[in-house]
Amino acid sequence: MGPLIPQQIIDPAWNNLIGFLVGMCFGLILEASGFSSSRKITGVFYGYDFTVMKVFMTAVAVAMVGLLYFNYFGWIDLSLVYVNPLFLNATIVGGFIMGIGFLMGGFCPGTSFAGAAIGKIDAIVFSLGMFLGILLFSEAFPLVETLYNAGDYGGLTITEVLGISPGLFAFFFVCAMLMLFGILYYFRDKFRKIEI
Amino acid sequence: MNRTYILMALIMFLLGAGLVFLPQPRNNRELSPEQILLSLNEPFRYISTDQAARRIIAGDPALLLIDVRDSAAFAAFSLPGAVNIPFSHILDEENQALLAEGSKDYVFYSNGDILSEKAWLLCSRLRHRKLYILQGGLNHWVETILRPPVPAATSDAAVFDQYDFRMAARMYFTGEGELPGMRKAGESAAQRSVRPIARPSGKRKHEGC
Repeated sequence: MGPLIPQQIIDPAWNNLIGFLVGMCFGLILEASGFSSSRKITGVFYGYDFTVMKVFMTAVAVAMVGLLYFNYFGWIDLSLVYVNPLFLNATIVGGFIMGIGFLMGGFCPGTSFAGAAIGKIDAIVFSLGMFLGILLFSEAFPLVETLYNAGDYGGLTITEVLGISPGLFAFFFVCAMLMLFGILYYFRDKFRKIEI
Repeated sequence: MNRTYILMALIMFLLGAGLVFLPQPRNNRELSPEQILLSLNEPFRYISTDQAARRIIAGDPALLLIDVRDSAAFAAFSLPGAVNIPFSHILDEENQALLAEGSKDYVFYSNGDILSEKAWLLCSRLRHRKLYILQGGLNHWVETILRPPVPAATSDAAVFDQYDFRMAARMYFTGEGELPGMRKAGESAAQRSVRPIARPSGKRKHEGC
């Protein structure tokens, strides 16, 4: 049946509305998980709060396992799902820059909007800084264009690289995730308690 | 630990383990009827018997002839280098794997066109690439390559060139000399036998008629 838009079951004009609704739900989950607090987000780096990691790993595992079952039952055709192309060089450099910004500001783009929505001043400042960064990047684009387009690997997936079946990879991922959660739970008293 | 967490972790683990044992996901890879209609009107899906003969003689490694008749017919007569995939076995896993490689030009042939057309349609729908049909099948092969008709004396030089090629190909495939009455005037059989087979179409020799 799915994906709905590539199969022309619903019109592409619905793209923005669906994106808007999914975005609202995403923001709601971010807020409900406490991601509107910059201390919670940087907690992973300083080692006192692993909620961010737990929430995102759970989201990835549920989506991965769910999609593979949907694919098996024929509710979605994974071969028609768009896979973001991998630009390796730009991803490494961009990931490094974003990581620094993440740590300095205490937000990522999504969570800064969640924070701004509930009126946190640091989140509002962060969001404005992000727009400033977008402006700078656009103006400096001719300088970084080579890097931007370098190392294009197309829509590569990790199972293609490793040469294992998607189901096996999902199983490994779920096992690793559950083990990590178990370890974090076992050492829960060792972490510093910080008032958030 | 909270009992709900343990239960949810267990469910997640079982769902993940289930994925390991599920067969490979089936995907909707088949062509839509509209796309098939488009490709059916495409004349390039045919390969003429002359083209096929040229490529067989040249030993083209990118050519794979597929005989879709049954194995008895294949054993009785087949084209050189052809593999036998009887039409009833065309969906077998190893045959599909061969076609899925997509590394060669796969040319289906049968006695006529009908069976190879069916095979072409079926495999095209399964999104295999580079599929062709030997136009007219083996019947046309016999009519054109093994027993080429003598062109009329008033024919164009290109027709005679084609006839020359077919006669040479006939010798290549059958090992026979020329049939009586099919030799062109003014040429001996000895000259024929050393004639180069594949000649670039641009450089035509002016001889014969």
